[in-house]
Amino acid sequence: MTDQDAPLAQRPARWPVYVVVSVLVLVSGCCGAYRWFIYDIEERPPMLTAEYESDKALLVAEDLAGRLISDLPVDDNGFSAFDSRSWATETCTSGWDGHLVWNGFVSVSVSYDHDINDDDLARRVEDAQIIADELESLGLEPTQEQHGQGVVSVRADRDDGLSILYTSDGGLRIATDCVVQGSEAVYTPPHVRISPADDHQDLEWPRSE
Amino acid sequence: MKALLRCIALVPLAFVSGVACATEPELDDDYATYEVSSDPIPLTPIPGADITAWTEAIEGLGIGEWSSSGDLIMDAYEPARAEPAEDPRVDEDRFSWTLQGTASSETADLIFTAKAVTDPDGGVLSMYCEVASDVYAADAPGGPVLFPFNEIRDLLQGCMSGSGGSSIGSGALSTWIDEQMNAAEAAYVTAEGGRFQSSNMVDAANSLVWFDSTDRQTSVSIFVDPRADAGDS
Repeated sequence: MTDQDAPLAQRPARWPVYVVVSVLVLVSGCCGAYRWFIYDIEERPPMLTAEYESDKALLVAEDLAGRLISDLPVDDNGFSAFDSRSWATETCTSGWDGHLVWNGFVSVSVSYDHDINDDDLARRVEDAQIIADELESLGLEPTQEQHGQGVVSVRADRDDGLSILYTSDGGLRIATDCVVQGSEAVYTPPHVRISPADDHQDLEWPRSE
Repeated sequence: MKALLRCIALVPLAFVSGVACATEPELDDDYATYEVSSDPIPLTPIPGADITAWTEAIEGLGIGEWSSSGDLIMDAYEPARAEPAEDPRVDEDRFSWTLQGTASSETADLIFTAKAVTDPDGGVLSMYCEVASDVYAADAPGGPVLFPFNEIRDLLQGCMSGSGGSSIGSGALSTWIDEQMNAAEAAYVTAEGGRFQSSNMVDAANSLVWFDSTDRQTSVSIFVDPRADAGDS
């Protein structure tokens, strides 16, 4: 009597193998789905595009601001269209609605803001073109948009994560991606004449108080 | 059977790929970094300003006590809201002078603050005088002018009378403060709800004198334009 002659009922059952394989495939599918969809959208930490920490990032952003506004016209008293400056530190977040907070990482920004009572919009529109030209001379690719009623904007991004936005109604804002939060105190005077009362280095969101 | 084994072998890989996720931001492979090209800018002393004459003039007001008289500033960073700060990269010693006191007027208590910063040679890097009031416009919307402009004017002029700067004389400075206080009072009268703001600046050979007045506080500060070339002043 050979093996081929054995009755079918005596062969080992394969269904447990199928069950195990199905479970493993299901688990791997769930893991893959989590890794490539949910994690990427909801929980992946933002990538750091610059090596420097937040304190040096402020000086780097100020450096760039100085390049951009150094050629802007000033009046007889040395004033430009900007009347205030702010350094701000914001929490580094990610996820759909920014619900994930990454402690130890922040985004910092330098803003030169227009005087809301200054009605010389034409001057600020001309400044937009000067800033766009300077961005191009720095090798960046600015985009300009018209928003109606004389409001124009200039945007550009630099490969160290700095995003540059100038609007003729708001002013100039240079912000970083998420960077490591530094602890060194830094300061540099504003590039244009701004009253000490309108020069803020301590803005934080969310505020610590 | 081989396909079955491959499938089983892939399961751990898929599992690893599912759980091996970063727990904090990491540096991207394509990161870029730019160096700070600008050198730190030190504060320059106000030409002719004398810290001794200034402190004597303030003591003549008979208000408050000195909380610091030439004390070494340990923290190199101060927000510039009140006065210009110096880049910590300069790494030079600075010394603080601070007096605060309260003066009463008919309508309010006035909190008077005088601050100065000097360098190791006694040069005055900045002078700052401030009068804060607890008069709130909301208490008398559209009512008579209760804001104690005259008392604030006297305090600021007294505080700056000993500034002694050669770029802007004390007499001219007193006159200028007078004009700014008049403008502030006019702004207060016309402001809705009394929430006014008045500010101005005079550039006397790169010695900047700033005036700021709101319904909360009025201040005058003097320093040399940090962006001006050294020696021009």
